[in-house]
Amino acid sequence: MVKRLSDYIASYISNELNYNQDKGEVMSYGLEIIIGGFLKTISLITLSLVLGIFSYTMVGMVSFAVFRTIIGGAHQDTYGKCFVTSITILLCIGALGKNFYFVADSSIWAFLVYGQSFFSTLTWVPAGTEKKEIKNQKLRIKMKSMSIALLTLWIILIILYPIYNYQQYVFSSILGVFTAFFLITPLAYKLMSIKFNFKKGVI
Amino acid sequence: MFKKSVLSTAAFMVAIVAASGVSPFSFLWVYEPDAPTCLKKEL
Repeated sequence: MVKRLSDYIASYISNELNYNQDKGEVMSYGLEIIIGGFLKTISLITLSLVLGIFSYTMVGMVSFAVFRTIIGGAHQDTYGKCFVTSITILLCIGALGKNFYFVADSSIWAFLVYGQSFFSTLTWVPAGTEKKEIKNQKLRIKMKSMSIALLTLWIILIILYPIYNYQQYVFSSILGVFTAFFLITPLAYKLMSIKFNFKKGVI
Repeated sequence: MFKKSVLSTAAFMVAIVAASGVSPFSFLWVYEPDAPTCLKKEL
């Protein structure tokens, strides 16, 4: 549906502006990203508001997305599957974040996730897919460095939570970061039935 | 004329989004459509 709508709008714009086929394809691709992202964001906001977990879901989503844009990871092969999987995961993060943030000292969880993420960064970041794989070693090292810098900034923010009193959101953020890094592991690729040769890109 | 200006601006913004979609620092977390051949590059 998203692809067809994007193609239709791109075709209209291309006709009006006398664009060639290449420009039309670029339009369609850009629109697919915008429309797909818009639909998913609106659905997530609406569902999390209905379930009363909006703020927790947003914290989890931002924590997840910030890392995801750098580290990569497994993707579903169709928009429909991607929509259902990501909305479900993010709503679960919001629900768990709201209901279980008090179960243990968040700092311990944060350091455990930091360790897991640090190891994953050194081993798999940037984790590609069949559609996008980064082989350039300099670029891979740059992305690993960015990931570690961001992780360190994140753990500092987590450690500072008693000062700024945002304890109730810390667990959601931890879950978001954990999920982002879990999705770059070979296990996640296997669970999502994605064939990808990790050995090719490893530094 | 006004319609063309609006469409050109929209097309320019969409092209920026499309270009960012294939950049190394923007793994799409929402969806990963097939990038057009003219945008694909070896990373």
